Amino acid sequence: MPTDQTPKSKEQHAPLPDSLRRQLISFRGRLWRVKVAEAILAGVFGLFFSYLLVFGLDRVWNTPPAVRLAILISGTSLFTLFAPYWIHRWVFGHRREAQLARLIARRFPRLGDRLLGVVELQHQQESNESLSPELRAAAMEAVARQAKGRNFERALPNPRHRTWSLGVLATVAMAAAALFLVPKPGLNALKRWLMPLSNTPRYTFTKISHFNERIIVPRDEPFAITFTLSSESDQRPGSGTARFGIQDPVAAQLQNDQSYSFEFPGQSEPGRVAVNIGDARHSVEVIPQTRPTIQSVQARISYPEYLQLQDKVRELRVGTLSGDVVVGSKVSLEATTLEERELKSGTLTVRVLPKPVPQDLFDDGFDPLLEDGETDEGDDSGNDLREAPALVEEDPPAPPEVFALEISGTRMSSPGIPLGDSPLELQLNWRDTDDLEDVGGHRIRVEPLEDQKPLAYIQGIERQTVILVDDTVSFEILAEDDYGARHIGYEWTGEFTKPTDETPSQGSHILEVGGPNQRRISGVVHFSPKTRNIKPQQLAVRAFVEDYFPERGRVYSEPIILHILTKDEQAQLLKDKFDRIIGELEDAARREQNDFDENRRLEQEGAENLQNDANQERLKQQELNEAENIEKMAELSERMEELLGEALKNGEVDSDTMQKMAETMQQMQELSQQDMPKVEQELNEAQDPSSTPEQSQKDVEEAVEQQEKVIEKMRKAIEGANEANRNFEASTFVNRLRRAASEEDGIANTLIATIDDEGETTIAGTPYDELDPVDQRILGELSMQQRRTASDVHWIYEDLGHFYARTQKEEHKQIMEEMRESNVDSHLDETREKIAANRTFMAITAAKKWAALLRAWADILDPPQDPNEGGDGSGGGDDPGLDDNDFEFMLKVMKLIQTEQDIRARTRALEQLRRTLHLQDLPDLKPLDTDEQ
Amino acid sequence: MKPIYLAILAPLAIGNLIPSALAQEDEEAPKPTPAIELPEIKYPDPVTEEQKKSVTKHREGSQNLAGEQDELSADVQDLIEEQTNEKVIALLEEVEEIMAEVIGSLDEPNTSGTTIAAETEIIEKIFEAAKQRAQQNGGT
Repeated sequence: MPTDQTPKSKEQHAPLPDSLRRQLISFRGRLWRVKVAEAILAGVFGLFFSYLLVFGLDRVWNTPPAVRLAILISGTSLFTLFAPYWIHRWVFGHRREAQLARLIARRFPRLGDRLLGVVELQHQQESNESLSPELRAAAMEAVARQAKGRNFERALPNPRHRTWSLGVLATVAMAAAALFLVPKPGLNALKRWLMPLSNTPRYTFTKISHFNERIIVPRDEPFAITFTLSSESDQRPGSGTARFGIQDPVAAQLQNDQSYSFEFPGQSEPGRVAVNIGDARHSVEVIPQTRPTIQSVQARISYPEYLQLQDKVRELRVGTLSGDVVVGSKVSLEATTLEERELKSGTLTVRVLPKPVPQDLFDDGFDPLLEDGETDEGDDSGNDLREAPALVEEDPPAPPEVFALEISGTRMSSPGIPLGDSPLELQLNWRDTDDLEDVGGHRIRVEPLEDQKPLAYIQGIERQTVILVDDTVSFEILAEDDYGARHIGYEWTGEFTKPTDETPSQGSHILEVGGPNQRRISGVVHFSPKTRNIKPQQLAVRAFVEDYFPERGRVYSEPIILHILTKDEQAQLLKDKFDRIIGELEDAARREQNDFDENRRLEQEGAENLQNDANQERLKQQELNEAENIEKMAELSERMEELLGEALKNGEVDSDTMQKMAETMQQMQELSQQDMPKVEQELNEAQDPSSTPEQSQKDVEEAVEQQEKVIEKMRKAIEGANEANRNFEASTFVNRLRRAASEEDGIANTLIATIDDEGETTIAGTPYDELDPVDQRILGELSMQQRRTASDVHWIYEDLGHFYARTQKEEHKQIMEEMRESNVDSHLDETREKIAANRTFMAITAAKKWAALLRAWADILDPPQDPNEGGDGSGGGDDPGLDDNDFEFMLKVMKLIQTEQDIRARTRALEQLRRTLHLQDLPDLKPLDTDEQ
Repeated sequence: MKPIYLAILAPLAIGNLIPSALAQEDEEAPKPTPAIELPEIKYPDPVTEEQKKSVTKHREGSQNLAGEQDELSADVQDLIEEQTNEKVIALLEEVEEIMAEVIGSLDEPNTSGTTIAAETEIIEKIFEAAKQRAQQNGGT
């Protein structure tokens, strides 16, 4: 201010004229007011404008906090930066007269320069010689006069305070309008403007309910995003648009449920969906992902308790579970997802499928294509019966049951599903933590099987086997079951082939114990009738097996029949075999004789004709015939050897017979191994094309010569066999007579069994018609038995006649005569009538009498040996020589071996009985009948 | 002519009886120097009436067999008396001794593997005696 220089200038400086000073002061005041107003108005304008800017932007998009912050800073910066600067420039920068003069000089340059000169003159400090105060004053006056008429306000630089005022008025009006007319968005914008970094949501007229800003959709599959209008929404636009990335926008109409559903095509890459509904602008992040799939499925099978089996886990590589599952089991499934996808939830749907019906391939309606329940959809002919022939027509299938799965990370497991007898379809469905579902689930067909009956069979023995009481037979029992066999054993049931007062044998024996996991059991049985006190009879032996199925009981094999014979019964059997062998031997001899005749004819053809084609053919045929006969002879000698072994075992065939049989067998072996092959060889050589006719003739002659010896040897063998057979037959007469005696004894004993201890009989004297049916049946059987015995005795008598005619042995004649004199035929028949008429005591007496007589006749042929007599009582001239002693020794040795073998086999059977003791009669095994008679 | 029967019956004995005897021997005969100990058989104790009956049956059966073995032993004794060859006699005497052992075992009653093995040895010895006799016959 110039005022601070005033005291000094009063002496040296000349002041400005008053008019000019006032003018300048007025100009300065005006300048200051205008520019301060401009600064304030600009600041106010900036604030309102920035608010309006946020308000406006929020209407078109969700203004980001950073933008809002920038707007707010920009708006306030007019106040904080521009206003101070403006005031400093125009107020502090234009305080002095010189500054003002310069400002005026911009508008009025000449005047301004003069004013500036006057201002400078007033501070001039020169010497008195050079200073002219008058001139200075005059100059000031002159400038003052010039300035007096001038309006300095025109020199104000761009006064805009009015413009700013208008701007402020406009923005204030608009802000007021926003706040009062649409207060919600106005206040929301105010809040978002004032606090740009706060989480104040943008106000929209269209409000959308909460939705996920990040969704995961199945890769390459169409998907939909649904937005629902909020109940607070002020607007309900009829449609909206959404756009995935830069793809074409998708439109959606407002649905009745106040929602918009935008359908998008399948995507393989992640992206963003921009949604415009009214003024609502949203963005959703979309991440395509493959659907969760299963890496592995396991089935845990819990077997029914009765099977006593451990649970089993099976990896299911195919969609079928069969074979290991039995009705009554429980199956639970356990699955793991691929790529470690975490699971959220899962379900198991159980559907009962129709049971397939086993079909005969030869049924008319069978169609293999329709197996597994498939129906022939293409057939419109209305033939409904053919459409599903493999299905049972049952009630409609039960509705599927759905079970929730237990989830643990990437693993899901189902509860145990009980299995009935129908197949099931188990369907697994799951959803991962991204809410993606499986593709169609995973289906498993479960085909439970019935617990099949076990199987038992016997092997290592003929179906019909003949043994003696002393024999031991061995055979193997095998059993199989699908889920483990409990034990195996065998049962036998006896049946007498003729009436007797004894009870047939019956019993059972458990051989081996199995276990729940033992599907196959086997064991060897050593069965000795004598060890089990089983008398000669017919036994049906069956193997049995039991499994763990409740109340199934024993399952039996096909029976084998053991014919347990007495020694005389076996002797008769051997006799029959011997008869057959002799018959076949005679046939072989006849064939050999025929061949011999033909060879002789060839011999007579002469050497010159022997090598022609026809004779060569005959020779060839003769050679073949001889080969056939050799084969037959070899077979007969084998059978003879076998027979000899059995006769030896029987022990009741006398040594002379054995000797003859052995001799016959020896001859037969020599024939088949040495003599007859020589004939065949000669016949073969006779056909040799390299031989001369003379040589061939010689070969044929040698063949004839050799064959003659063969025939002679065969004849001797037949004679020896017949002699042995006669001896055999003779000894068989003994057996037959003794058997008849035994039959009579049996009949008598059966009748005696009807008499009680006090001599009373339940049937004697009672007319047949009044008898109990059981007694009637017994009498009928006894009568039949008596008839058979009488018939046997009659045949014995007849055979004795023929035998005597051939052998002329006195003892046979004696028996024959005694039989004729005793009139045994008619008496035995009378006994039969007595039995039929229920004359019990008379029948017993008669049967006993004839039993004794028959036995006495047998003793004529085979006198009982006196133990005191050491030597052979025959006294004949056939003193055994040294070789006979050898033969006797060998026979004795063989009998010793045979007997010792029998003892050993029975020892083994007893040992088996002892070792398997604990298996018998166990409380939970309960054999049907363990009585052993 | 007669020695031929010996030739016939000897192979018959070998063919029909001995193979089965030897086959059984394979199962039951004890090894001369067993490399391993034979398992000890523990016989179950009878509990039920039926099992007690079975034990009785076993004892009776075994004692009956002892009787039969005794009879066979008498036959061997008779056979010894008929023999002149010392080796045959010695073999048959061994048979008799083993038979006595078997009789004792069966009478106990013991039907175990040891008894069966002894029975097998009897068969073997008898067969050996038969061969010895055949050799003697061939040599004279």
